[in-house]
Amino acid sequence: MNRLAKLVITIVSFIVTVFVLDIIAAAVIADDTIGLALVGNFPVSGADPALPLMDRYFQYMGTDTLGWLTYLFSNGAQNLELIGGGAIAVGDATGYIPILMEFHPNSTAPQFFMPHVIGLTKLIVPLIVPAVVSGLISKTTKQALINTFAAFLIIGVVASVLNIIHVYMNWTSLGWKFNATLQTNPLLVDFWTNYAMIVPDQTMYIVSTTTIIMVFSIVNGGVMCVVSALSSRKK
Amino acid sequence: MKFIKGFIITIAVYFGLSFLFLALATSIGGGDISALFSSTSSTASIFYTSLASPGISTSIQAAFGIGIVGIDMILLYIMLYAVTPALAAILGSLAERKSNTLKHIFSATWLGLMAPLAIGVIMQVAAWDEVALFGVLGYTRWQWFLPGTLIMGAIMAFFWCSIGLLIIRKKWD
Repeated sequence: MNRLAKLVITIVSFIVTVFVLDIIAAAVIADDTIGLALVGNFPVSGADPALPLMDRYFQYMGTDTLGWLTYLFSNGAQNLELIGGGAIAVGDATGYIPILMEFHPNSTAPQFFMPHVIGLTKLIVPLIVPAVVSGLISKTTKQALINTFAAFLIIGVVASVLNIIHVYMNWTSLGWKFNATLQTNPLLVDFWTNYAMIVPDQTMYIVSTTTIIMVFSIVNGGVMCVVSALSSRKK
Repeated sequence: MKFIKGFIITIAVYFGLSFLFLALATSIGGGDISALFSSTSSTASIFYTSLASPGISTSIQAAFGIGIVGIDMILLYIMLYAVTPALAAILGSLAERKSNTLKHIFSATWLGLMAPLAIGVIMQVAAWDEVALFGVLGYTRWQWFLPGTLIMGAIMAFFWCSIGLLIIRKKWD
């Protein structure tokens, strides 16, 4: 198998994983309020707020396909720091691990547990699967490292380009079109709040979001390189 | 001996810079540097806070903050404090660059970051009663704090050491 084929397989495994996990998440979350707030930010203009996640997701895909594609690729720039800290918070607990520990199934508020298990799965698995696939299909560890890093870099570049087109096409449109992409990394929300809502400057918004997407794609690529090296087990 | 060099340098840079940036930020903010060591709890936090916190997010937010409001020394120190473990891992990796394989370099820097974290976490648990509600990392019970911080620190150390490996280019085995 040549290098290009391996690269394509790695990127396709990423896209398929994100999509499959979205469907699983939609099936598990259904119309749960906490789950919808955490991983179900796919509102369709004028839609019923209690619409189940599955309907929301496919309506969003049909109504704003470019936005959905931007969201799909932006998953490569997810913020792994949310595992133990950052913007996800329930009460005093911030980050998935503290939240899952505080709000376990036998706690006083078990309703927070399952949505956060889904959130954590959607955060980690789309990054791990392509790295493992890359490790398994590569003949040498060096090849696995290069393939994984290149795949995440390309995913980041595609996400950035789609984001730029999406922002320029929809800037004067409704904010809901950006919601799905924003949920991939809470840092993007900060810049949506700062630039899009307070200083309506789309160039500054694009500069900040592109920086975030590229920084996190590179960091995730670097971390997943080690995962693919560990999974390859070859010289 | 080769392993020890990277291990020691990682620990020294991590703790040295953590304390330096924290002291500078405290000093500029008008605080008392000696207060950093006023209790077991505050001393312990120097060991683990920057490693067990979301450093990339904090540094990006601080960088954009500087871009918006101009050079602000506190924001600059917050940014540097957040990436201190990365600097330690990079310098630790560079120190081992010529003497070891990638696998050993990774182990030396990863353990170099985890050692001070473990000390800090144990100190914090021992002094848990000093803080009524531990809000810095979001843990309200030490039973959650102990494993949670160690897991988070291990993952973040994995991040930073991977970046250290990207800078040096050697064979994995």
